[in-house]
Amino acid sequence: MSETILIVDDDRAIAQLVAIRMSAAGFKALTASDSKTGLEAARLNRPDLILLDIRMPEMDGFEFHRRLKEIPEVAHTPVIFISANSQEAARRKALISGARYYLTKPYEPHELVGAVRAVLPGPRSGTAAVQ
Amino acid sequence: MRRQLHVLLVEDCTDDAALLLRQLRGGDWDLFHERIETAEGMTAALDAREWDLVISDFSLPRFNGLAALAMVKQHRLDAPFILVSGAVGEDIAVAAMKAGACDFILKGQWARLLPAVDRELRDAEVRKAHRRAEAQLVASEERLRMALEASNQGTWDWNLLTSEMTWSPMVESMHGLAPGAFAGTVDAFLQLIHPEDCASYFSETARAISEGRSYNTEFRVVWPDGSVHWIAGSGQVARDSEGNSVRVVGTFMDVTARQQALIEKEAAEAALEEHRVRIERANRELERNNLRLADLYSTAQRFMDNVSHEFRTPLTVIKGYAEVMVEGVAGPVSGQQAEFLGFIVDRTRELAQMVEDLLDSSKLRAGTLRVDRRPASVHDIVAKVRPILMRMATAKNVRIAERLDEGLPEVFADAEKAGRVIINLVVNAVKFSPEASEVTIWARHAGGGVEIGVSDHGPGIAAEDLGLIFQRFKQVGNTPIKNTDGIGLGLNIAEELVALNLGDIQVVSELGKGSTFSFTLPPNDPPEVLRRYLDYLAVAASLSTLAAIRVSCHLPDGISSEMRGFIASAINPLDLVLGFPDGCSLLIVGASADSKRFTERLRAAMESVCGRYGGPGCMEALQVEHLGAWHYPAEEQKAVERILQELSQEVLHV
Repeated sequence: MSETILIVDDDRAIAQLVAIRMSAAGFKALTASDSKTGLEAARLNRPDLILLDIRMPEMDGFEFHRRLKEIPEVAHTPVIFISANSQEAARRKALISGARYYLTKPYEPHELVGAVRAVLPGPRSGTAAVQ
Repeated sequence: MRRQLHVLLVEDCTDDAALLLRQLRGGDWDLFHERIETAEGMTAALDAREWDLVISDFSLPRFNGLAALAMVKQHRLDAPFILVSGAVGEDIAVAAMKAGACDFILKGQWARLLPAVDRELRDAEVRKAHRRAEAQLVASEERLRMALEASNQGTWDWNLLTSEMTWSPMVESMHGLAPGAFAGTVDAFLQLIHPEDCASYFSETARAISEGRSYNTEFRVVWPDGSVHWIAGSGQVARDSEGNSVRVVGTFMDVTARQQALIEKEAAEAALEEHRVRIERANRELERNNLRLADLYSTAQRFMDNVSHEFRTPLTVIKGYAEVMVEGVAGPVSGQQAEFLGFIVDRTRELAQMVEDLLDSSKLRAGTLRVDRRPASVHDIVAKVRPILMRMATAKNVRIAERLDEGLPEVFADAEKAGRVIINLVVNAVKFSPEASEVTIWARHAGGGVEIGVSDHGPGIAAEDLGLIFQRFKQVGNTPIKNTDGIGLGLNIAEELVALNLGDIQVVSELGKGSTFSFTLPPNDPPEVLRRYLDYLAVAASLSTLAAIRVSCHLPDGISSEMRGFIASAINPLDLVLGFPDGCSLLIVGASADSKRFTERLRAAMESVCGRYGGPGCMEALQVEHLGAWHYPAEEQKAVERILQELSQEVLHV
C-alpha cells in the first residue's frame, strides 16, 4: 500500500510537478491550490505527509500548519515546507513550528524524494540530516 | 589729674627767674622747669626731652633770645616761645616775631604772662592736632598711591578753569610717556587718545562735567611708538561753592591685557561656536547619509531577497518539467528532444546557481549566512556534487577527472558549503578550459586536514592578476578565451565559504599552463578546529568577548539531529558548534555580546522544540549550561584552556 502525500501550493504548475514526482516515486499524490481546500483535503484524506508551500494568498503555510495541528485527526501529520524563501528567518520559523524539513526551490528531484522518504514512518524512514 | 607743664627758662638772672616762676605757678598745671643760660645748656636741654613752653630773656651775658629761638626751630620743637626783656626797642620785637616767637613781654608786666602762656599753649595744641591730621592725610594718600600703583592705576587732576592737567607718573607711563614728559594740558591729553575714541571720550566727559557727577570711561590711546593700549578710567567732578564744576580728579588704569584677553576670548568663542555649528551640520549630514545608506542597504537586501525569491518559482517550474519530460514521465521523447531538454535543465540550473550566488553574496556581506559545520567525508562531499559537475562539463565538452586519495581523514565542515566551493571552482575551470581538455578534482591529506583542488589546462593567470582573483565582481581582463561571461561572483564566494569552513584558499597558476585552485578543510579534531576557528576570528571579526555554552540533549534518534539543525539556525554564523563523540552534546563557542542571555534564550527555544515533539524525558535530558565568558583577545588563552578542558572531559566520559 502506498502512502498518500498532500501537496498544497497555490502555483498549479508546481503542485502538479511535485505530484508527478511523488507518483513517479510510488506515492499517491493529492494536490490543493489553496490552504482552505488543503485543510479540507487533509481532514478528508488523512494524508501520511503534507508538502506545503509558504507564500500563499489568504492563508500562508505557517497558518495552515497551525490550523492543521488543531484538527485532532491530522494534528501529527508530518509537514515538509517547500519554499522559494531561503532566508534563515523563514527556515527557523518553519523548524520551530514543527516542520520536519525545509526545502528551497528549486530543489533537486532526489532531495525532494529523499526528504519525503526520511520523514515517512515505517521501514524506509531514516535519520538523515536536516537540510 | 592736672596736666604737667614742662618749661625751659633761658635766664641768667635768678631773681627774674623766680618772679617768672611765681607767675607761672598761678596756672592750672603742675609746673616743672629747667633754667639754662648758655647755648650748650640749651642744646642739652632740648636733647633731653620735649618742652611744652620756652621762655627766654632777650639778652644774656653769653647767649641771647633770638639764638635760643633759632635753636628751638632747628630742633623742630613746636612749643610756644615767649621772649621777655627789661627794655627793648620795637624793632627788636618785630624781628623776634618774624623769627617765630609767639609773644614779647616786658619785665614788670608780669600780669600779661599767664594769659599769653595760656593762649599760646592752646594754639600749640591746635597746631599739634593739625599736624597729626596732616600726617594722617599724607599716610593715607601714600596708601592710596600704593594701592593705585599696585592695581596699575594712576591719578590725574584736571583744572577746568585753566585746562591744566596733572598726571601721576603711572598715568604717564600708561600713555607711553617718560615721567614728566606729559605737556600738562587737557589738549595734550586729547591728542593721545585714539582718533576713533576721542569724540566719545570727550562727549562723555563733557556730559559728566555739566551734570557734575562721577563717570567711568574706557578708551584707547596711541603711544608715541604707534602701539594701541586700552585705558579704563573714572572721574569725579568737583564744584565750587556756587555749584560750578571747577575740577575733575580721577584714576586711569591700563586694561590692555584684559582687553586683549577679552578680544582673544571672544575670538576663541566665536571660532568655537563656528566649529560647533560646523560639526553639528556635519553630524546631521552624516546622520542623514547613514540613514540613507542604511535605507539603501536594506532596500538592496530586500530587493535581492525578493528577486531571488521571484526567480526561484519559475526556475523550479522550467527545470522540473524539463526533467520529468527527459525522464519520459509525460510520454516518450526522441533522442534529440531529450538532448534539447537537457540543455534547458543545465542552463536553468546554471541560472539557479547564479541566483544562489547573488543571494549568498548578499548574505555573506550581511553576515547572515548559516553555517552548519559537522563531521563529514570528502568522498561524500564530492559525490554529492558530482552529477552537477558532470552535467556542466558535458555541456562544454570538457572531461572531469577525479583523483581523491585513499584514507583521507574525516573533516569538520559545512558539507554543503564545501560542495558549493567545489562547484564554483569547477564552474570557473570549465569556463576557461579549451574544448576537449581535462579538469581534475583532487584531494589529499594536508596539515592534519584535507586539501581539495581543481586543476585546469586553461590560459592561466598572470602573476600580477593573482591578487585580484578573488575580488567581488571582477574578472581578469584580456583572456584569450571568448566564452568568459558570468557574473564573476563565484571565486569571491568560494573564498568566503572556505573561510567559513575555517580553511584557506589559494591559487597556483602560470600563463599558458593552466591554473590550480585549492582549499583546505580542518580535520574532525575539536582542538585543531578550535585553533583554526580562533585564527579565523582574528581576521574575520572584531570581537570583545569569547563565550562557551554547553548543550547536552541525550535524546531519541532523530530528535537530536533536529535539535542540531535548530541550533545551527539559531546561532550566529561566527559561532562555532563542536560536537562530542557521543553525538548528543555540543559546545558552542562564540562571540555573542551577552552570552548569558543568549544561553537563556537558547534554553527556552530548545525547551519549546522539546515540548513539541521531543516526547517524554526530553526536558530532563536537555541541559544548557553557560560555561563562561572571556575578554577577547586578552583572555583568549584562558578561554582556550577552559574549552579544551571541557572537550577532554567529555572524551573521558565516553
